[in-house]
Amino acid sequence: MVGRRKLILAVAAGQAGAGGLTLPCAAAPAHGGLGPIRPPVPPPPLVLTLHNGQRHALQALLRGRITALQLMFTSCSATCPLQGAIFAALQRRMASTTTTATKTGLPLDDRPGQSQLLSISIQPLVDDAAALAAWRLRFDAGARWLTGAPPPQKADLMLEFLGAGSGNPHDRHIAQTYLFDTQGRLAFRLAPLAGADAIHDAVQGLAASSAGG
Amino acid sequence: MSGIGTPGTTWRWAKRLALLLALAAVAWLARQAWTGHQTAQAGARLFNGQQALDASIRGHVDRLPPAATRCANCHAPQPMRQAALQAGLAPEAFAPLLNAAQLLEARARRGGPPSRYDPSSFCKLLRTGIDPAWVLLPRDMPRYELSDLQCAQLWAHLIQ
Repeated sequence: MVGRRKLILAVAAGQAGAGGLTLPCAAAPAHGGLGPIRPPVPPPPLVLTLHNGQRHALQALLRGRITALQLMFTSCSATCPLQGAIFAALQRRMASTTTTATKTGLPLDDRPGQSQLLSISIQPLVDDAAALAAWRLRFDAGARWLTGAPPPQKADLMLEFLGAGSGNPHDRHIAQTYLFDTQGRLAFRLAPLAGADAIHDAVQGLAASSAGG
Repeated sequence: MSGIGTPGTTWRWAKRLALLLALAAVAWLARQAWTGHQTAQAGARLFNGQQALDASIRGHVDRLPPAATRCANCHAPQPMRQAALQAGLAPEAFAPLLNAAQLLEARARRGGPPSRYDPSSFCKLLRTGIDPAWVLLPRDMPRYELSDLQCAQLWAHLIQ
């Protein structure tokens, strides 16, 4: 079982780093901002306003399930539609593999409540609950796909935490997907625009690791 | 009265023929212009997303939704650039504005060898992500599955 977990993470990291190529050395600790984070790191204390207007502490939202997180803003027409499309495809994977996962004995990360998607806006000044809700509609986001925005004065905290600080606008890596473990800690980074399959594999690997302690 | 074959008659017939040919040429040119206009208009609809384009991200199995494949998303002057500035992103990080000068003049991409496009290399880039100087475009430029007609329409729109 441990071998399978390692294999899944290795495959995911390989896809993360090479856009689909799998590399035998890809399971090494995060290299070039990609791969597993050891040890996992808790996020900064932030309160997010969600698409439904509710306010939740980020750490509370993350705890108890595997979370795939991306940064976006609703008026972005360049990479954000691609990111939204990727999460939409990932959402379909999660919905369609629940039964398969049960039958094959693979990690049950797809049981309701076990994994979720979270898109966090980097433009909280304009991305209020209504804007976030409209953005979700564009991608047919379901109950397990949340969107939220931090307080405007803390907009950069998440960017800095994810290694995408505002100091260098060319190095924000806003198209990356980040995975948080069931304890709500940043545990894995995927490449910019990693595909739904790669993210799904990484979620499964992380779920297996979390389950195994 | 002059009959057929006389110099006067021949001259009149020649003038009529010349007039007819001129009219035909004007009609042909007008038709060409109209067809070109129609082609460019069809290209504009593709560019702006009023007509969907089929595309995916390199290495992905999933097709992108039409809203994510619009050329105008990245290649048109629109509020997106303002939003980018507000977000602290340099607009240069996004794709270049596309027009005749951008496509027809030799320009270096990311410090590489200069690229200049023609209809064939333009279509190749859209389908493969490889530019005329063999520079591979970033993955956030989708790979398009276009017909030859769609390529020609986009090209006509961009170089008009």
